[in-house]
Amino acid sequence: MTNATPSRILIVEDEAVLSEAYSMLLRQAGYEVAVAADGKQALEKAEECNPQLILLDLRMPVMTGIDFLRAYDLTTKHKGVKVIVFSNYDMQAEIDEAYKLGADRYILKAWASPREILDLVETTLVS
Amino acid sequence: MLQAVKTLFKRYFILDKQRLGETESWSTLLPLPILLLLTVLGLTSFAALTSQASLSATRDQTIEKRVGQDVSKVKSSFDSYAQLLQGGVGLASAASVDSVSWRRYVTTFDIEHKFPAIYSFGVLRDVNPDEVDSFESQMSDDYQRPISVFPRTNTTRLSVVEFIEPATDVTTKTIGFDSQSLADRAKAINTATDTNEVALSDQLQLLRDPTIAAKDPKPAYIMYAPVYAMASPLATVEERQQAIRRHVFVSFTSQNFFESVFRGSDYNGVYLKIYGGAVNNKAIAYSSGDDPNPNPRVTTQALQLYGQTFILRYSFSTAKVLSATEMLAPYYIFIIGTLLSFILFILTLVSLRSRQRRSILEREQDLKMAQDELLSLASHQLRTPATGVKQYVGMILQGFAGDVTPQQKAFLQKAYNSNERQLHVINDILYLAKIDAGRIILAKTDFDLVKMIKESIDEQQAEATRAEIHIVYKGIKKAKVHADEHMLRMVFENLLSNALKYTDAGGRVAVALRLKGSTYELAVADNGVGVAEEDQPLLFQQFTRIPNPRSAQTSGTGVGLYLSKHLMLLHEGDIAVHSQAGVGSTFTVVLPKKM
Repeated sequence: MTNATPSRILIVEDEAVLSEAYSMLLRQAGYEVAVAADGKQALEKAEECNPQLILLDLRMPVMTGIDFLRAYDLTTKHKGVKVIVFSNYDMQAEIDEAYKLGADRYILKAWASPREILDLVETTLVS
Repeated sequence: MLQAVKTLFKRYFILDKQRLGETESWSTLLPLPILLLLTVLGLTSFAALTSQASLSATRDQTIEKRVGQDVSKVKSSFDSYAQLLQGGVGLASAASVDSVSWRRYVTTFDIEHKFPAIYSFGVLRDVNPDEVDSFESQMSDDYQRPISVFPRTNTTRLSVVEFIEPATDVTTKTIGFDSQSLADRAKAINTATDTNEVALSDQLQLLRDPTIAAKDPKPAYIMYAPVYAMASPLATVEERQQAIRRHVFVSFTSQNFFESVFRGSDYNGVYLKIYGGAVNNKAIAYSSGDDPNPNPRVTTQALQLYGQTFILRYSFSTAKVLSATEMLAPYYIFIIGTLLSFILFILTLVSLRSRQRRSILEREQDLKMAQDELLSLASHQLRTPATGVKQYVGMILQGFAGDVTPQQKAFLQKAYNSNERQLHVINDILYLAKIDAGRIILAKTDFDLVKMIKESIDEQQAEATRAEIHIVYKGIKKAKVHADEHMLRMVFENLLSNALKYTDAGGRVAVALRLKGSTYELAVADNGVGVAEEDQPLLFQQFTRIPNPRSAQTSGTGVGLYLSKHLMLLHEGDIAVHSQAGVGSTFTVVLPKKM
């Protein structure tokens, strides 16, 4: 957890039950949390709140996580923003693509308990 | 739920592939190429037969052409003789004609060279019996020697040889001879008289030394042209008979005549025999040779000329008539056509097969894509709700929702564990599906096997201590391997967790690693419940669980060992088991050092 201004986290997740759980968890831990339900919304929200970390789901309607990464441009425009790709799919091709586009971590949602998620967010932010 | 997954699995991943294979053997492609083959062969046969038939036609045409040519040649030769005679008629019409003027006339024609076949060219004088004496004296004057008319048997009109060229010993002896005395000559002479046309005699013998004639009979012909008194009426036979004064004649042996006709003709393989009248060896007028072929083709042509019938008989073999290439044409056609049809057959089959392959490939790709989609969907749809539960229950358990009573915590923990189990099951099944779909690729790296083993043991240590089971490692200190670390870890962890599951408190799990030759042997031995001998074969099968006293208490879909074995097989290794019910089990992983 940060001391000064709380870090801003954008959760991009189409499944309401999960995005609610994650935002509740992260808010409890003291982060400023914004939520988007698809890639397009994510771009808008990202412009608004300028997050330091994005928890990005891959399979979403309207615009997928991969397309979001392409549009968001982590290599130049938004260098420095951390992205944890968070998915319940384990398609190697997608994972590789995400890393290529600048993602920092990849984790399977099913394996991450709340505590593990928090640890991961913390370590990623300071990396 | 397991049943449903099993069915889904079977339907999409196993049977479809089999079905695909069965219907696509290349024998199904055969009909079209075979049809093509038969069609082309049929066309070829037709073409070859047509060619063969046309060869016959060509041969017949060739022969016909030759026959036509020969007929013209013969005709024109005879016609030229007739013209010669007509010329003579002109001279013989004049009252002043004598042997000298005749000789002069004849020499202008250069008979020897222009008409080499002509034996004699002369004039007959037609006299009544009462005029014979005065005729004799006239002739004697002309020839400056006594001339007699012989024989004297004729009581009607005589036709006496008056002039004859060339004047040889033999021919001059015939001067005064009454040609009417010989029936064959008389017939022709009188026909000429009656018809006012050139007449050709039947085959006859020329007047020669009788002894020679007997030994060497040479068939010959004499051609006669009538000479009438000038300005006489010639409308009827009687009038002509009244008006007849002389006959101009040419004589020639038939052999010489026809030889001169066909001089320069190329008879290559064709044998011509000409018969005067009927076809029999007696009446043979000309022969170019005898056909050696016992079964030749024969064609005949009858020719009517100047009152005589000649039969041209051709004997030939097709081989001689047509050129070699012409003859072989039907065979060439057949061979080339057959070759072509087979080439076409193969080409068609090959192109159909490659098209089939491509379509199979495409369908396999489609199937793979569908499988991928299914896998992705399954993983997402199955995992999402379970993840939700994990987060919320997890948050309560991990203190993010305020205090909980120990009992609440205990219940929630049980719920959380149950959910974790579900997530594991989903994971195993999906992994299984990937293996079956052939989509697991080994990601080989160099790593230390011993290090991995020790790490896994450490991870399970907490669990082991809680269950009061002692895990111990014995074996080589370092083991460099080139393999998929993630997979090997899965295998080892599976064996280790099984050992812990099926061992009672106070029990012991011994992990040993050794290098035997070029193979690593990793043994996980426990002194737990063991596996009965009759159940051992079922251990590594998919979806089977051995019923044992512990089954009710422990989790597991029965995919663990099946998966582990598969993963080891992918590494060209294996897993073996030694077990005794009630004593314990030892699972040994075999991994080749180099693959």
